Amino acid sequence: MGILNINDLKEGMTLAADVKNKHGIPDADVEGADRDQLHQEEMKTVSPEVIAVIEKELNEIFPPVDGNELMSEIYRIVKKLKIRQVVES
Amino acid sequence: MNAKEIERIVSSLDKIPTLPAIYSKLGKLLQSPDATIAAVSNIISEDQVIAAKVLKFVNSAFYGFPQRVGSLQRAIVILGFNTIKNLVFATSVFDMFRGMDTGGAFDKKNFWKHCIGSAVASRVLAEAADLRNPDEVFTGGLLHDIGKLVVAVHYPDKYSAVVNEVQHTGTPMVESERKIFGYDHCQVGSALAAQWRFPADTAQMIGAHHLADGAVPARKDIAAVHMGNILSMALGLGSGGEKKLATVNAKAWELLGLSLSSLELVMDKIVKLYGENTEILEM
Repeated sequence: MGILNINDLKEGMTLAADVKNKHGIPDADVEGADRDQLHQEEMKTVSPEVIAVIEKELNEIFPPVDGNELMSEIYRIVKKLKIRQVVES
Repeated sequence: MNAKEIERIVSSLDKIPTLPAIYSKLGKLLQSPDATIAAVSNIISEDQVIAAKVLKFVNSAFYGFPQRVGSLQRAIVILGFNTIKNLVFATSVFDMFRGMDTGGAFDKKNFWKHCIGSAVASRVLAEAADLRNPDEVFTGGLLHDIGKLVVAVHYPDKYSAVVNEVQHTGTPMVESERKIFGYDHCQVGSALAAQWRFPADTAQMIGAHHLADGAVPARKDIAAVHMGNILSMALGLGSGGEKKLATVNAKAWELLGLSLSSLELVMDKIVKLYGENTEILEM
């Protein structure tokens, strides 16, 4: 089971518990969900060259995030948002 | 340098604008037990620009009312006296510094965007963490770096040296400021807030938003402004002049009581609200 962002829910997933919603910030506990796997799927939507540019840009401002779960998550989300911007532009 | 010395330095600065008359009038009225909604509304109505901004704010996506709030009195009921007072101040403060030179290296436009981004991020975090005062946290986020502006206005060349050092070496701004000035923008902002008789909570959010590693935030609103500042920069919402992002203080994160899995929606909401409200917030 894993806690997922509600935007990442996909057809066929099974909820392990009710969706919790706090001030418009919902969480879904999904059976067998893996956020790392979702992250890998996001990466496939743009070319490796674009990802390399985005990572270079982020590495210039982020401190080392290894071993820091929170900073790693912030890094992942910012990277995902930047990928989304590229896809939508 | 201790707090008394910083207060003395701040009170000796000659370019600190006096607070707008409307703010002083509101402050006096709100100290009185006889303050009424009609009396507060009358004072705000004296300045049509500020009155329009209050209405724009209450009708923004922050509140999401299905119907437009058209009267000041209704806006005051919704926002409350404290938020109205803070909002009146926040809408005036950056105007007061608008025409002043801050030196070549200090980017005022990006700085203002960073203040708005931090305010939005701090407020979203405060709501997600169920804080009772998200609008006050918004004001804390908006004014958290006011000390930078004040120092840059008074010592434009010296402050340009701070910005240049930070940009070339990645040194945190507070460290470079302490090296070049002997004090930092948090100390100046906090002393200024005291001089302007801000609520003590707001002054503490301004003074303590840079939580060093291992420091324990005294309250959740300070934790929200600390993290809002970092998320705003991570999301590229303007720049306060830093080259490198600070690491979020672990105790601040713990105190807010949010889950890692909720962070993505928190950050999505920050980006969405910032985009929808930039025009309203560029006061």
